[in-house]
Amino acid sequence: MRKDGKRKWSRRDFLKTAGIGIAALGMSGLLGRRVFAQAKSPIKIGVAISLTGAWAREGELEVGGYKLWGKIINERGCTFGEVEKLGCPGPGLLGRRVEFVVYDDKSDPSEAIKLIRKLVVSDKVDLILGPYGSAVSNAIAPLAEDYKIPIITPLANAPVIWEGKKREWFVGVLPPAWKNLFGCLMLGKEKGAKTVAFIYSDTAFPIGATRPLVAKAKEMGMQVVLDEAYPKETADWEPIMSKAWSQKPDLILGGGYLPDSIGLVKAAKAVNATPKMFGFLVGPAIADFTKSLKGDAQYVTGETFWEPFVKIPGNLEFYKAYLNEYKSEPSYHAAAGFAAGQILERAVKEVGNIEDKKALRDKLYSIKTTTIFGEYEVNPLGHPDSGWQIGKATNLIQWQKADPKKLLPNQVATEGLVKQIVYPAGSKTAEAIYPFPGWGK
Amino acid sequence: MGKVTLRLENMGNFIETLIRGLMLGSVYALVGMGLTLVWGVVGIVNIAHGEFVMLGAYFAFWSFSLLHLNPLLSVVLAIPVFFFSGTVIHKRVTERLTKAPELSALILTFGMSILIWNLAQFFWTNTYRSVPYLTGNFPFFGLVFAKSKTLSFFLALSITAALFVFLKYSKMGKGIRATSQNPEVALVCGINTMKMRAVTFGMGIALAGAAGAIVSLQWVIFPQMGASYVSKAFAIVVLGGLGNIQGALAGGLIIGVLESLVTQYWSAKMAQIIPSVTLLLILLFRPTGLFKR
Repeated sequence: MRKDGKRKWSRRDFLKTAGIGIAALGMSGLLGRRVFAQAKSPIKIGVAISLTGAWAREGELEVGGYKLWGKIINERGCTFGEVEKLGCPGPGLLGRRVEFVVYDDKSDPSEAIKLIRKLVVSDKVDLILGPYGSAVSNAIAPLAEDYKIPIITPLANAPVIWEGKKREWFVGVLPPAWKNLFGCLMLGKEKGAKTVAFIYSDTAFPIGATRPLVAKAKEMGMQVVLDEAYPKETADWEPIMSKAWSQKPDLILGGGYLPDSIGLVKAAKAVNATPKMFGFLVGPAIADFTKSLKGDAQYVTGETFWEPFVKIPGNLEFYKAYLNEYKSEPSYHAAAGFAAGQILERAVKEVGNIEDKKALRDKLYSIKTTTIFGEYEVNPLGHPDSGWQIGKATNLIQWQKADPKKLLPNQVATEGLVKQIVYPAGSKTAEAIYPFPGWGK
Repeated sequence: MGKVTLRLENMGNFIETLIRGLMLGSVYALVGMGLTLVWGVVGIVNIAHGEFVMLGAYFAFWSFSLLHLNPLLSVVLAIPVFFFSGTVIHKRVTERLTKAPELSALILTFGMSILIWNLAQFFWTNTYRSVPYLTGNFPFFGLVFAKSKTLSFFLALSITAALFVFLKYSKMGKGIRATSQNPEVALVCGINTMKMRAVTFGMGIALAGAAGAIVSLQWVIFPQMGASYVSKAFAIVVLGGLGNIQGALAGGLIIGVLESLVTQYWSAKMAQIIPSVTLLLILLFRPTGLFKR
């Protein structure tokens, strides 16, 4: 110490002060976890996703789900539902802040490949969450194997990604497309349906969703009276519906996208087709379906991956958090993105670190859990289709008359009708109305 | 006894399919007649013809959803609106093509087609739309028919009848036919062939617009829908003979019935190639059309 009061640092002083400082920092770790969490390096999660181009909207919704999950983790250390049982140890994942590095793949699979390389090699991200859609997922899946970094892809289910590929680092969240209308067959079987007609658009997704069902129907002892793909340019569904109905089947299943479902219902009414049940792919779960068809939508069933009112632990909290964060209703894309975060959350917590990628991968391939999106279980390592989602069932909805007094939270009535989940038993909100009572009844 | 009932049921199904084919064909015929009229009289192959069908469908859709106009009224209104637009388009654009090489008309109307559907896509988006009017069916001697299609059928037939009467008996109709048969002689006889061409072009567009408004009653509407109608219309025109209105009517009905029967008894995918196969066969074996006198 000098006399003029100015302090001159000697080596000893410096060491002393530094020593006290470090000790104080260490102590503070015991007092407040938040400070401790911030002292640790953050967990960097890389995302290359469509923010422009054909799938911009879907990508944006999905990444909204990721970010909401990250935000909640950073606030309280756990999200909602089953994963909450693992405990909420305070801000961050394993006490580390979650940060996202997000790039736009421009809805282009080849761009996505470059971006994943960049994320791994130059950004050195710790983990990766998947892109939107089957096309991009299929393109980047081999990179997960190359870099030995596990990737969870929430919104892809084309068979080509997993079938016979023995993926070891790439897991999915969506159920395979053949499950989409499987509920119709199960319900039909239960109620004694004997015959079924399949009419579907001649494009990749409807074919992938319907053809395996034809085989399943036969396995279940049902007679398939018609199995026909109609051209994708079809604008008049009356001839094909009339053909299906001329066989008087118990179930008429198929369709393709929203226009198909609307057109097929109109055609069914026009030819007075009255099978015991109608089930169509994409369409019936969308509100526009009922806005367009009004009362004729009643009793029609369709597939849905997720609905805000599905009774799954944590779903209501997710819905509220999403609404609060984005001031709009969540879609299934956002729910699936959020669920991918929850799967990661469970795996990381059970492994206890993020450095051991192999242990994390093994965990992702072996856990069975439930997220706000539904069940999660993939084909295990060693299986020819390893990594493919098998746990989640696709929910079957049926439009039924709305009773304003009996609406569930988040259940919205459209044109006096309301979507009810009628399959599987676990998420059922109402009994299926079977058989179809007829038009205008 | 069981077999007899089954046979009767099959017969009923066959008749239903046949009548549905005729109903479908009547709308195709309307589109085909417009195309053949413009082709025969004005000498222009209008590739954009299908786009006017699309515009007619949107005309009915917007009148229904924004103005709550009865779609039947839209069909009636579409005729003067599209006729007027057609004559304006002809005077401003296509009249210059009447003396130009045929390829110029093809290129211009092709460009027009791309422009129209792209604008439609830009302004109205790719959303599939439909007019929820008169859904459902009615029984008829044990058979079942769609209300909207039956109505469409009668609308299409009425418009066709009116067209025939106009061409056959009115002074202007006679002028149009004269222009179609020999423009020079018609001109010498004091017929304003330029006016006749404009009127004909307008009528062609009006037929497309009316067909579109009728189409909106039964099928989904989207910006690219015109393409499938124009390809069918070409087959119909070739089948009936170029410029032959009666031929186009017959051609439309034939294609409609074939499509309906093939879908029912073979496959919906096969039905889609009917127009192209017909076009090919006619061009190979009877290039003047089935009904050339």
